[in-house]
Amino acid sequence: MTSNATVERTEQPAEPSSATSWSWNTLLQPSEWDVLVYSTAFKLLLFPAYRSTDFEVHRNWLAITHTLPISKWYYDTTSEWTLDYPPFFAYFEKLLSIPAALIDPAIVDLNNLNYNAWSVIAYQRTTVIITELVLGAALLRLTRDAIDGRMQKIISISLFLHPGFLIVDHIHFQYNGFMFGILVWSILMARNGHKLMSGVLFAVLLNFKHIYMYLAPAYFIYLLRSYCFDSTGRLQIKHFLNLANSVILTFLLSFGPFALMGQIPQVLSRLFPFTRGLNHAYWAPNTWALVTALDRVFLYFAKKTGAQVNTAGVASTSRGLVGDTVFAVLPNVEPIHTFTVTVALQSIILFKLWRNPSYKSFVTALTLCGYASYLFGWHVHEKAVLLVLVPLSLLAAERQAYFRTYMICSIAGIFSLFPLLFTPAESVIAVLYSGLWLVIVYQSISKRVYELPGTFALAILDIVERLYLAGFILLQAFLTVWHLAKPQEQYAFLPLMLTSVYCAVGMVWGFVRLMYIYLNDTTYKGQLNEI
Amino acid sequence: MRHGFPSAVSPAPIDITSAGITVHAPKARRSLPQWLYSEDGYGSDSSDQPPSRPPSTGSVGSVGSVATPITGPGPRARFASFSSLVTAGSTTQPAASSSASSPARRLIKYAFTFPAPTVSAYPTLSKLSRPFQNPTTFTIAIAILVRLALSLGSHSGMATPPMFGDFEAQRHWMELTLRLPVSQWYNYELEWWGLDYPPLTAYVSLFWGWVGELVFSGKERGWFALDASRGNEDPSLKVFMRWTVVLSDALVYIPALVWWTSLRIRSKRSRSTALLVTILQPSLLLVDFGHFQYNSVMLGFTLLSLCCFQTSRDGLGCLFFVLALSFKQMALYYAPAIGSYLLAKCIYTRSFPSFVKFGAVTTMAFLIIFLPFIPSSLQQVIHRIFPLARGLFEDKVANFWCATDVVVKWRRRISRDGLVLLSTGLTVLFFAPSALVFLWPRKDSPVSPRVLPFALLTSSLAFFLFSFQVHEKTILVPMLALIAAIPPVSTAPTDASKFDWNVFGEDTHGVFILANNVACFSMWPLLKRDGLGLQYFTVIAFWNYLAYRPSSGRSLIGAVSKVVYTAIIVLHLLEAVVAVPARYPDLWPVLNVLVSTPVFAALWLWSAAKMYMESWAGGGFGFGGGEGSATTETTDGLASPATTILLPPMSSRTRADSRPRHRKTSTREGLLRARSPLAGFSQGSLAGVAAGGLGGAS
Repeated sequence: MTSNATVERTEQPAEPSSATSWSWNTLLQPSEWDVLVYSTAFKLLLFPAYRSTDFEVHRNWLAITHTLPISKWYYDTTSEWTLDYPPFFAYFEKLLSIPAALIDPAIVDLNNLNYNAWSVIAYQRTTVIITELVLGAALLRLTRDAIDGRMQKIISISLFLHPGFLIVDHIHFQYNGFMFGILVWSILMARNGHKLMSGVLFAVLLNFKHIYMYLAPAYFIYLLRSYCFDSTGRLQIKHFLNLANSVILTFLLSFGPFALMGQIPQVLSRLFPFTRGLNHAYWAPNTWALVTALDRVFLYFAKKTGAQVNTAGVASTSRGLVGDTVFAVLPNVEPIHTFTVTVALQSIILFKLWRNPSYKSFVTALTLCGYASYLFGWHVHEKAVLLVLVPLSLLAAERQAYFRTYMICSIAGIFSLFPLLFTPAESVIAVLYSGLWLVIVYQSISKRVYELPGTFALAILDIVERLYLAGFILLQAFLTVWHLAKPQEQYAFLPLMLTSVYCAVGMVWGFVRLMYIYLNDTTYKGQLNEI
Repeated sequence: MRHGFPSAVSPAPIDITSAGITVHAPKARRSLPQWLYSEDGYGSDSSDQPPSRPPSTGSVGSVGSVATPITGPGPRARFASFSSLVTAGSTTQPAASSSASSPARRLIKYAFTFPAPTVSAYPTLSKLSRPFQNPTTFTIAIAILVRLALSLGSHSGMATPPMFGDFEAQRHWMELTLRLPVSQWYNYELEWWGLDYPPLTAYVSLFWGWVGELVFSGKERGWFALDASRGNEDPSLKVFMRWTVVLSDALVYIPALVWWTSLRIRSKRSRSTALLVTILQPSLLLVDFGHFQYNSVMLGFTLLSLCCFQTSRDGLGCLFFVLALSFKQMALYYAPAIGSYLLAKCIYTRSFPSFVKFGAVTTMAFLIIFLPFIPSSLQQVIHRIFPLARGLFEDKVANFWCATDVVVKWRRRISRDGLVLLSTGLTVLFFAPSALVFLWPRKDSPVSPRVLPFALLTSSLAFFLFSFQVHEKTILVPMLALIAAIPPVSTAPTDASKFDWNVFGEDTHGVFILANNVACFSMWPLLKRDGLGLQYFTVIAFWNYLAYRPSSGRSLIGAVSKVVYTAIIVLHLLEAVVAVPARYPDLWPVLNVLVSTPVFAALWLWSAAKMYMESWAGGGFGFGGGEGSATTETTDGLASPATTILLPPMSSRTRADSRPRHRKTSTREGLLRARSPLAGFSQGSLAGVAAGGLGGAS
């Protein structure tokens, strides 16, 4: 350290940028330019990569918003990929459709289904890269006035280069980077003490994509407690009204036009289609994946012993069909059950948040709320894991316990995203990229927070967790061999099921860990405690 | 002002507390956002007040923690320096100064105002590699990722029946070698991409074909069914073929580069930068992983042989060079230089046994590789490898013939045989210097392997510019020699702020960047046809971001670069905007050739000059070279009295440092000196050869 310090001290720090001498460094630091340029170059090279149907979904929305009057946006059924995001996203698509029409009018042709010319690929992929800069800006600002700028910088870079965004946005195709940018900005505002702004930004985010409702309870309680009440518990009417009015105004801006046209029921029916099953085609690695797998195991034994089983459940083995998951042995799960469990868990978290509405507590509660919804929600997509991983990243450097939780969740969560890419070329890139990302993040943070496990039990736990994480290498090896060997059709479900179940173990354990830390950890002061 | 980039510079924030420094900062009250001190989480209702004022004046009630206004940077505040305190202070300025506007407007303004960057340069790309025990691993991983990402793009001849392109050729060779007996490999239906590379290519095709059939179930998918698989465009076949290129590259070329950079550059940091710059060399990336070829195997073998010569494993070097030659005949471009180097080595050391050894290794290796074709189809193989029956040039290529074709219609004026003779004659004339540099009689002076890269460059450029039937892709062959010409750098950068990617030495760096960019540009028509426009611009842009540094104002190379880059940019813009006139359908490719050829010709000149300077510096003065010093080595390792006068004795530390890393042969000693700081210095001052090290940094 000392030698480093001497070297560094001899170097002249760059002059503080003044308004007169503008240079590229006024905008970003060299290292930030590096991250931006290299990651953008890499994303550009991914343009020809595999695209999921989400690509066509978004192209269709461009066409809908460009060609149809606003009154027909939520009624159009030309394509099967109807508009099912909240109005702000529709406005956003409308905005994007204007340059699109200039570049290639065929992009916004409503009947031009599955259009895949180079123009539309390049255009849509470019919009993802550009709108992701919102995330970059939010992370940058998060770094610029952080207490421990160095650590925050590592975290910011790790988020900007997150494999989740690479897989879901830049290969699979979605606009998560943009929307998580709004979320991070909102969290940033909460950190800097501008809670009203934080609330407004979150309301805006909700009107972009309603999946962020997973996080809404934490926001609600946090803002209510720390903004609308003062520390003695007195209601601050002015603050309350400010917040309520701003949020209502946001929703009015978003849903207002549709309310005037009397389309709210139609819009809502698009946003919340309650016709899906418990699990998605590929089970998101949550509790229900474990339960479903358990049911399959029971079924296997039940068949051997000749016991009575639910015949519908036997047929409903998950072979990638979207539809109801019916259990053969275990009692069936209804939406109300998932809802009850989620709310029960969330209320524990929120109770704690009400008691301790600090910034750190808020971010933890936010993570946990998203986490609970992810683990116990109805028909959860694997992509929703980003809702857990992104806020959790902000806590990663707090101390070893958080860091280990973060590692387990990140590895399990990112691994669970790999099945999104079933094409070999892209899979290899995703695996290699994630590995590289993991090593960099692990090595950069680990040495800053490492603590020896204090007790024997903790030491055992440490070893078990390490073994679990090492298991991912074996799992990946197995999957690789499996895909090369191509065994019989009847076991085709095995790779996905294994991935899902193995990741689910880690995800559930990560939740338990984080819950335990949140509910018990009051003494330890990490850097975030200073906010 | 360009940022001082990977700058070793990195004025990373100094941890004030641990470094034991106190910064007494006037006005530091502005330096920290006050919200940092509201520890209770309540009450910072900043919608009512400018955020830079302490929250305690707001609504904090009876709960204890009333935030006290802090007048100096507390222990929690960690800023790099005094200047950064001021910068950080300015972050809250905009919001605070706008106290006149309404609270809501102020809030919104605050929410979207950006703090200026503080002064610190934590992880740059090279610093991201710090977590790795060995930065080489990181570089290789990055390189493979980039290669895989490039592989997603289209390849030559994709979806263009009837003949498709190089991709189909390579696939067809796998089919050919898998399905047919050896005797038919060079005879079978030649009009459909007949095999026209030497046997090692055929063996490698056979190997990958096997892998494809056994591991990737290519048999069931009919990837290599005889005749039936022609023009097969199965997406998984494409992925498999792409992987074979990436793997071949990772098995031969990348290790060769790692070895070469570690031989030439001792400073760890310079080495990893050099590796990163060379491993991502854009022209090779675009041809191998975009267009689709296996050039990196041949280039890798050549580089391996250079590594062997550098470390005096000459026999092994011969073997690797034979492998390169029998993978792709373009390695012949290097042959004059390498052949005369070895010959000269035998002559000057008067070592007949080594002559026999080189001869035996070469002959045996060739014999084994060509054995299956002897004697019956040997003639056919040779005929296929050297297609003199084809034209002087096919597509537009940036060499002498194509460039002068604008004025002199060679092919109409001179018969084909005459052209063959003429082109051969000119080639010999222009590669002769690279042979003579070794063979020219000198008074018992050594032959330095340091001259080799320049000799390779000179010789291969001579072939590229003047020989018969050259393809535009062949520019990769000289480009490898240019990579090999990284000046030996032995010191860590002394002046950290000056050190950036200039591992190639002051003027070498400028030439290296310019030549690589022009090489890419010269292949633009080809890459455009392949549908690799995006990849072309992306790869060139990020590689230049990585490696390009403007050369100091008045240098010749700086001026030349400016002119050439302007021409290139103008041409690209014109091509994008202006439609090609119907009378000149080849207008853009011809202009491309007219821009690129002079640069390559100048590169030949530079290289030849450099070669002689290097050989004089190394041999003429009798130090810094290889073998010769073995004969006259004295205790302090200096060869001749002349040197002793010119140079202070080598410090014992340098020698002690370097010795354990090498076998203690006399050649190594000479080599060591070549790479020592003093050698770099002496070259810089004596012969004007900026060879990095002190020469580059001072």
